[in-house]
Amino acid sequence: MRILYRVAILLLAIGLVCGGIVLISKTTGAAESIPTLGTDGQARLKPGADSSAPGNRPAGDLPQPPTSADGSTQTFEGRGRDGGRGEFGRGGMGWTEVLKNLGVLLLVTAGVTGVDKIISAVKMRAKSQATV
Amino acid sequence: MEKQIKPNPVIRNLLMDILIFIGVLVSFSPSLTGQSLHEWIGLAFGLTLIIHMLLHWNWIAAVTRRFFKATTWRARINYLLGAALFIAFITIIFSGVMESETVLQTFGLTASRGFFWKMLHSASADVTLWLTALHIGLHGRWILNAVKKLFTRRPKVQPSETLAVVPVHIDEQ
Repeated sequence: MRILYRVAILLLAIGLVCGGIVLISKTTGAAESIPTLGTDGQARLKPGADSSAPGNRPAGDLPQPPTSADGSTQTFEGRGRDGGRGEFGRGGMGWTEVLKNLGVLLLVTAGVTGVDKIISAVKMRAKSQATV
Repeated sequence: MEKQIKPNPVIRNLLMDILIFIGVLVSFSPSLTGQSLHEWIGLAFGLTLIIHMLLHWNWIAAVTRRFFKATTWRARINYLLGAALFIAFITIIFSGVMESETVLQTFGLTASRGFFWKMLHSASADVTLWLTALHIGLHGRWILNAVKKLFTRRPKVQPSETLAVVPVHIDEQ
């Protein structure tokens, strides 16, 4: 019973965070105002927006994906963080990304642990001097 | 009567944390797993996050009660960092679901094609990586002690080796 109560509190907290994100995206209009890609490959503007305004100029045709030797279309999707979606993403990039993330985690962890040790050593020294 | 073996909470927490660490590394590398697996692993990661918080519920509850009263600054910083991590992970999972292709399709829903969710997913992932590193760093000493405990065998106490209580006369002088 106690565990259900705890899970309910956590779900409530998760709901609050998700609700907050939706609220922010709706009040700022961020989810709608940014042009999104249509199925025709053209950049789309928010309905009613002035297309002649400098910031709202139509993007025109987007660069077309390269074609293979056999004439089939290759996709750009799958590079970097969003890899794995297309033909480029899978493979070597995956392990590089894992190692990069592991490197960041280990470096920052080592740094914080080191600073923590220094602070506790300084505190201990100050304490021992105070008692003397 | 069978003896009930109780798992050591430190070892249990350490093993769970190792699992979460591997989960972070795998789910932060979508090119390793492929898009559809990345989405499912990310969703499952949310479950491990809940389990992690349930395992440390007593600490969370205690610091929540004493946050503005008597508690250490270290506990306060840990608490605020944990709260930020919680929000960041929920943001990653929620924005990931909003732009997902496989998970939503399974439930017969269509993903939002907006750039906003993609940007939010990517930005929160970057922030979370640094917050996770800080979180691990602040628990570095605990992790080292727990790993030592995991690899140190505790000597079994044999019944014959138990200390016997011997009455001793103390002369009153």
